[in-house]
Amino acid sequence: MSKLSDLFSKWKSRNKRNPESNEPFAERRDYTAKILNPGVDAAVEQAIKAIHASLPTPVFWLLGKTQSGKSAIVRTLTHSTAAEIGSGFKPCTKTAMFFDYPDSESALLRFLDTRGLSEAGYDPSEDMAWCERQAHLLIVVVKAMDHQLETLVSALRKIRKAHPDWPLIVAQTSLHEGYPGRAANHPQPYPFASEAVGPAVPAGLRISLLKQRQVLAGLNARFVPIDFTFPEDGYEPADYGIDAFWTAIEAALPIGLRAMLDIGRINDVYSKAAHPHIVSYAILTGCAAAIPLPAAGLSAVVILQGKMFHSIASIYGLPLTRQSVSEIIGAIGLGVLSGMGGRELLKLVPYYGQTVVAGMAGLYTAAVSYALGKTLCFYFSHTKQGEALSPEALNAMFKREFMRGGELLRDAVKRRQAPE
Amino acid sequence: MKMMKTPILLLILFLMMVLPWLALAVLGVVWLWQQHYLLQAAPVLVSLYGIAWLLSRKLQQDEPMPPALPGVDPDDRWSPAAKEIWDKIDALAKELNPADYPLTDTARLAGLARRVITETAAHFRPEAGHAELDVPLRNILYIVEQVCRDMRELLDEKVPFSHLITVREGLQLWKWRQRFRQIDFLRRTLAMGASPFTAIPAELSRFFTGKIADYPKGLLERWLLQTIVKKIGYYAIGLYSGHLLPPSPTAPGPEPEESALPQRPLRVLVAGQVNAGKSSLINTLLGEFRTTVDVLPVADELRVYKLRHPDIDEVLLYDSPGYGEESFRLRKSGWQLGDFDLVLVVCSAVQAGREADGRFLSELRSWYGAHLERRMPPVLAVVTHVDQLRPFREWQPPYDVDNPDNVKARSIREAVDSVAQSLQVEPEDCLPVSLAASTEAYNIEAVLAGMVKKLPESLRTQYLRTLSEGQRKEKIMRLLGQLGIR
Repeated sequence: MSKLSDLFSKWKSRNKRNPESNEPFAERRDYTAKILNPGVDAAVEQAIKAIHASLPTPVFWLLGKTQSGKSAIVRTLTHSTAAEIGSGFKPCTKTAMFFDYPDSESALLRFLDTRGLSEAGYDPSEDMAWCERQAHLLIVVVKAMDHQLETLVSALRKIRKAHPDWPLIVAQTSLHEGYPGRAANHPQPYPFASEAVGPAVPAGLRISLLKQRQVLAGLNARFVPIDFTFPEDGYEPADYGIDAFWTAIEAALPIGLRAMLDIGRINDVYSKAAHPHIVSYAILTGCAAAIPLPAAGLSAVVILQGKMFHSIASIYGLPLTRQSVSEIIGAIGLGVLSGMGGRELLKLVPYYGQTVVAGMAGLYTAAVSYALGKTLCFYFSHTKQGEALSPEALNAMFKREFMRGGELLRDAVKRRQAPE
Repeated sequence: MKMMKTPILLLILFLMMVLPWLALAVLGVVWLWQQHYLLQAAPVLVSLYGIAWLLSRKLQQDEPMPPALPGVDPDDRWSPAAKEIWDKIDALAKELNPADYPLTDTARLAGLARRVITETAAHFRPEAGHAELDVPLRNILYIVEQVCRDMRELLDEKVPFSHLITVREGLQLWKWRQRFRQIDFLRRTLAMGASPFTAIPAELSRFFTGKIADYPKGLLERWLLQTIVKKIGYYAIGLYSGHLLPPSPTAPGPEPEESALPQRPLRVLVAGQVNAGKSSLINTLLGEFRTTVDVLPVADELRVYKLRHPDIDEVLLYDSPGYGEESFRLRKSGWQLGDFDLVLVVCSAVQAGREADGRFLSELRSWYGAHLERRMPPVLAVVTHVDQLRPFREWQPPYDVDNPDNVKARSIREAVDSVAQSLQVEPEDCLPVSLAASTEAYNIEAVLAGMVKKLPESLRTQYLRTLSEGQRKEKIMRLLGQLGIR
């Protein structure tokens, strides 16, 4: 049952001007109203709940003692500030707290921080049970010069026994504590590629790293030495080892997380903040579009897009007016948004020929939502500076971002639509 | 020169001085009688006495300030267990009513003494049925001897004429006093008027005890009684807790306290987690490289180093194997937690997990909780690696940690506070140091100063420790002597 033929039949029914249709894309006024006021009816709420439940938010389980560098990892991966992370963690079990990125509403990524590990006799079973049914990456965080790993190793063995298949990364942090003097810099080029310990590594640190690997042997782990510091700490680069770390994460969870979280090329501070929200909502709408109940699915898409608009507006601190929404939608064209007028865009999506058409609706909607969000950011940033935008500029922006979104979200949407 | 001054002589001397006046009084009365003025004079005399009585009543209402009488203080080297029983005896002494224990009633006093000794013995040896019988008779005699000596000295100092008055006379005087207290003043004045001759000896005895009469009613008796009870308690505690050793029958040598306290160097335990910097600290204190410093944990047993310092005499530093996240493994090496007089807990400022240190200290506290006859040694926390705190690249000591004025000093302050909090140690007992081999050691003199500051406490700990060790030795020696081996 192809989604497109579904949409086509809907389009035909829309042409009959069926007044009873609750099709949100029927008229621009309808759509705009829904975006401005995403009221939720029961069926749609159910649908969104179901999406949230079926969405396997990837969980990074950070296992390590206090001050071993867990927050630094969260900070560096998500480009958040230390304060945001400090206030973002909420307790979930007696011995653990979780942090949803960018926020709980649209969790793109979830970090679980095990505080209990520093306590004697830590039992990981409760923490294990808490995230039993979620996608997993276990990140063990140890200071490179720490050799008291008994508690850690015993907890790890318990977890490994229950989940032999979970990917495991051991991050060996605070490398600078093993450098011979305060003036020493990080050895360049990064000497730990593919788990080696190159000749440029200071002797004390080398012994320590190898000893830790010996202690943690047999757990089928991947070791990545990193040193994530603050810029004012004076170590260059502040995210030493980030590439090796991302490589390890991508190998463990191939969903293109790094690309999704990468905001390095974005210059605008508001746009940086909005980016993870856009990605997250785009994935959600992609999943909503794939729901087998078209009407509910489409309503859910519009409501989620509305929520995305609102959260972007609140990041920019600008009001979301009927005029602004209409301008953007007018420039893009409602057809594109509904998937009817966007056929030419479909050709731009890579692997179009090889993709299952059922999966397409999801990816298409995700890419559209992504582009919508990005275009809104673009619009807002210009509005902030008091400039007006031509519909052509908005349209060009939308197309560019639609392509980028298709690329970016391909793996994520595909993965999330294949619950088997 | 010891001249035997009998009270008889003194009395005669006294009478010599008083007789002329008495004679005058008698002659005056005779003259009044001869001139038929006696009837007129008697009411005058009686009314004078009445006024004097009223005045004295008034004086009695304005209580004189009780003069400072010496108390009996506990020995500050005592263990917590001894302090506990001392408080009990103190309370008992405060409750005593002198009226129940007249000083003339030797049987009751002896009973009181027995009660104190029994309670003390039972406290220290709860397992024995008749604890006081556990102690040889000569020890009890020893207690009595000590108490008597002390009481004698006190009386010499505080109670006038006590060195002249024999026990019998003393008791006599006490009896007189009691009697005077019971008879009211008016009757005494009437008796004086009626038959001055019988009243005179009584008034004489008042002169002897005049000093005593200065005290508020009952105070001196109370003080004497309390002092006796406390003194008995003091020596009983000393004996049963092992502070005092009665002179050994075989070797009448130096003072008992001396023999129990051989001069030995202080023992300092340097404890801490793996890689906290214990060996570096010892190296820095010794000022030379004698212990191995390495990245990986070493030292599988206690190693001893001798530290000579002008302020602390000789100190033995014990480098312990770093404890991990499990419990402290000292027993394997044949040492006990109670074998040290000062404990330095070395914590790394860059390692946040201090649960192991907390566990070690709670083990230490519980060991001393189980050995109440011993005193817990003082604990100093040494916070190492403060140079590695944020900002990492900066290290320009000195830093004012008490009033931090820059980021580094604030980081050090936070590290010190967090160590103090998690180890439950006073912040002033947490000493931030840097022992990096490549740089000058920082603040190491604070560790030495801290050790000097804790010296009195350490010495008290050492005193009780060597005492228990000395006792063990003493018992063995005596056993050997009884077996005829020594």
